[in-house]
Amino acid sequence: MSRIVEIRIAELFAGKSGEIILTTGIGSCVVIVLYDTLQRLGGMSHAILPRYAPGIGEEKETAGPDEVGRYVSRYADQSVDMLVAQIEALGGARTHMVAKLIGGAHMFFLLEGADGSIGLENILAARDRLRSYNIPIESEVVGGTVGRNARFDSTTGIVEIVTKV
Amino acid sequence: MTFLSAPDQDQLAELLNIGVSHAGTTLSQMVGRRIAISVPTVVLHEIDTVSLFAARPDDVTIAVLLRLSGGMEGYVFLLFPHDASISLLQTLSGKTVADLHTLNEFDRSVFQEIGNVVTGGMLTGLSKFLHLPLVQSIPDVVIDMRGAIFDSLAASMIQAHGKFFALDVAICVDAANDDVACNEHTEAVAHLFLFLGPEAAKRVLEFTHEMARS
Repeated sequence: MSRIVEIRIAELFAGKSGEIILTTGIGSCVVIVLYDTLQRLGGMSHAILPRYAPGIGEEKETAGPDEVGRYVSRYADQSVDMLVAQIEALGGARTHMVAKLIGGAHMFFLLEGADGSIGLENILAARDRLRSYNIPIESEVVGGTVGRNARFDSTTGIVEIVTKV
Repeated sequence: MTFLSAPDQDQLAELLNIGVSHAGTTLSQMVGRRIAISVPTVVLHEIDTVSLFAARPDDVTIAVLLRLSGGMEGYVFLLFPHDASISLLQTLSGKTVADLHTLNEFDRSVFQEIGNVVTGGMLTGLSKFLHLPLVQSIPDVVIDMRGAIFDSLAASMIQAHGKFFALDVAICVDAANDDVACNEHTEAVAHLFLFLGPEAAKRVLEFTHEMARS
């Protein structure tokens, strides 16, 4: 029976085969899923901001793990670094990893103007960091104006996405 | 973590009640029937990303967002739970809908107007209290999952301020002969959040402490 681990905003978790990782309430945040296709293991992060900027929220930039094994990570670029390191620590290899991106929506015109800057920046930051590791993005469900929930099966690599529109 | 003592909370609740009671009068005139709005509780929270994780994040709700400017920058955010939204819409417009996804432009405009009137009333009270001019923007209405709505708001506030504060105001609407009233036994019809950066929150706290002492 699979273990189910839920991550919240600004958290990440990497697990071996047989784990279900899920997160709810993805708005302008970006959810990054990394999956090792050979070892069949992977992880998920729910990043709230694009890039680590010294001086802003430094005291809570990263932390963990908690009793379940979740880490705190606010930024998309740092989340990619941490996921790669943790999946490799579990026996994976970056050369066998593929990525999936979810989120980066533009829900409120008032918050971000017409260009949806935070959601878009989150997506771009994740793509940039993944490129630096040469990890291909296998699929993306990003942008738009609708919130999402995501559920990742670390055995199959399949991500299920739920919207309520 | 909360920052308001019991006298501070009473002081702020009383002040906001004066503001929103005017909003109730305005709504009554708009719909031609008695509508009373009251504020039973006010709580000030410092928000970090984990505590922001809202209860029942999958629930589809109506969110009305207004930007606050003038003497203080921030956002006013009204959240209407699913069942209360349907009940409120029926009370205000006489329309019965089964689900929030079926709302049309007119229905959304009803919630925009509630946002306008309630926020206007509250800001008038707050503006007098703080001796600051406060201006509200045109409301933005979104219908989606509660968790995703908070997620987007948190990202914007944390990007701007690192951390932020939320003044959580429960709102009750009491319309004669309709079941949208709330009391200590039922859930509030709406929650209004005033999202402020650290500087603006400090100012509200200082004035509140001063008022409670005098």
